[in-house]
Amino acid sequence: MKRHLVPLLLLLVVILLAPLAAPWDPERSLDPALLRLVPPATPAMMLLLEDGSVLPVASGVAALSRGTRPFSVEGGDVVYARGRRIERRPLEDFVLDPQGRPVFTVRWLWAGTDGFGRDLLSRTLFGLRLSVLIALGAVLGSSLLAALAGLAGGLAGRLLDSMLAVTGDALLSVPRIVLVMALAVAIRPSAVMLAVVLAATGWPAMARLVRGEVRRMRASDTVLAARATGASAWRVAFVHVLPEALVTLAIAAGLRIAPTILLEASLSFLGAGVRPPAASLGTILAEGRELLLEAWWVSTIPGLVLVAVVLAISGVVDRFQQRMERP
Amino acid sequence: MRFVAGRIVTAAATLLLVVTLAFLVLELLPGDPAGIAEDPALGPAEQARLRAALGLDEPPVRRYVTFLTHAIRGDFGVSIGRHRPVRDVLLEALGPTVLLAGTAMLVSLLLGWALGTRAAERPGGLADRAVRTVLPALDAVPPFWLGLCAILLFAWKLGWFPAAHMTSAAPVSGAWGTFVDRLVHLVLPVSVLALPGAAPVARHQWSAMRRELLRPWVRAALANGVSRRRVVWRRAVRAALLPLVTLVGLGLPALVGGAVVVEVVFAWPGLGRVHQSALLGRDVPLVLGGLVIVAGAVIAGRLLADLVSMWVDPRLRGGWSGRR
Repeated sequence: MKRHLVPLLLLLVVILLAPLAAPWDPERSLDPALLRLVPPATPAMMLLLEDGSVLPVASGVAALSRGTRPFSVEGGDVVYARGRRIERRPLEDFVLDPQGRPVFTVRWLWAGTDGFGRDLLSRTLFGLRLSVLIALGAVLGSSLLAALAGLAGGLAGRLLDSMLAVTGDALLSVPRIVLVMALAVAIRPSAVMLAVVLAATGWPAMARLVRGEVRRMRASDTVLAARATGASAWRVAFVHVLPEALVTLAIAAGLRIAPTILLEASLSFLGAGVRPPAASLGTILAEGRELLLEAWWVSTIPGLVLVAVVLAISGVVDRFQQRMERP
Repeated sequence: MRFVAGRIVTAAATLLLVVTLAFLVLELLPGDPAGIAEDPALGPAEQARLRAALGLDEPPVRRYVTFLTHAIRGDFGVSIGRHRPVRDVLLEALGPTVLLAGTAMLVSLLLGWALGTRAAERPGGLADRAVRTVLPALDAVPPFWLGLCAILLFAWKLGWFPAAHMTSAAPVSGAWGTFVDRLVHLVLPVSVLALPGAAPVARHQWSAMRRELLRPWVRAALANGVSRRRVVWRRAVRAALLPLVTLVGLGLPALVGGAVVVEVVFAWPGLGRVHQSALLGRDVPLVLGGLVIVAGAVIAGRLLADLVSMWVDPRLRGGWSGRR
């Protein structure tokens, strides 16, 4: 079997199924006091409420194995501890068993929680989805731009060609992070805007490759024959020239996916990318930075996921490149 | 000398494009650059007078020319958040960034060069494995996360190096003390920047050396009794050295981009940190000034790399003296 494809397929499944696979709502706090900064692999006891939500009452292996219930029923109210405070809530809010006691469940928080008591696993899954979607959108957009710019530069007049070359050189010589940070002041970036900005600044390197292929094709007999049979310039460009450049473009685009994911993460980390409450992996990592000493997991878990994803994608793209370049 | 002039013209054109882009960003900003329109306390006559005073009533082309002439003089106005001329803030931050990025560049170059050569010399050895697995893996790690991990491990758990800043809070004595203090603060940020940066250099040097070592002259030299070590480290290395200069020039934007992130992680008082705080504070003059300064520095660096490689290898000059 094609084993190198396995991580990528897993990734695709996660991205498609993130809303189903995530155990909790990534943007809602489970409990800002009791479940704040819970370390990974912690069980939490939760009471089921009538409205479908849950009420955490205790967390941690030690607290749950003590044998005593962390809640009691007193005179029509459920009494439970909320940190140091004792709180009570009417019994009819809760799902009750046949004996009339509130029903509880124990859920494991495999990745722990962040500073607001949100489930880190869910946040990481959704963040991963957003990161990958932004990067894919950006790479697709810049491939499109690169194809157009490469065709125009290779086939149209010299003026347009050199204008595109100078613009491309300028974009290539400014660090993209700095450029996008400057743009982020003017346009408040959402996920979509970020993808657009990344696409608009990422095309020159690929356009150069396409232009080279186009130049090569322009002198070929195929194009001469097509011209001789009366094909229009547009037909020559899109039917005869462009397909030849597609393999090169596809490899270049594939190679750009992983760096674009990293770039997006860096931008979100610096505050120039996706903003809260929406979260990409970079945003979560930025939140984890403040908590580095208190809670290592908030930045470590999304970081590891990010590295794994980047490696998985690079692995597949490397294989693809080797296969396509070997005649 | 014509090739030098050509390069300089290209670099200047690139910088002009960047400044133009900065101006466009300014124009794109919602509302009035001076925020006059939003102030309800001002009457229409007052507003018109203020606009005229600020030059906002002039046509865009005129404003563009004004912006350009000011930018050439390094005048980007006054920072909104810091109440100081943007030029002073940026000049202050330029030094630390050059120190950080320059050191990182040197380290990554030397490391990549040595590892790549060694890997080609002895396939399957330690260096070979490092070039094939460790460095590419580091290249897949986001720089800020690598920085966070380094801080957690080497600064807090082991306490070997300081976690942040460029200087110690406690005063140090003498030139030697200052030097050591800087060096100790440089170790972690430079490593975070230079280790991933060494990956492409090492890969390139490795493949160049492999190609070079297959050449007939290598076999001839070995047959002549020149030691293998000498062939590799004295002769073949020299032949494979030049493309590295070009590689450095091409990798410069990525290096500076990485430095921006690493500066924020390590609270390094450089351009990256100024740029980020300006971004968060929506300090528009400072952001635009930072964009132009960083772009200018990178363009100058690339120009330098180009000129060096042209100086070393006349074939690259084109025009007059090069290419048949």
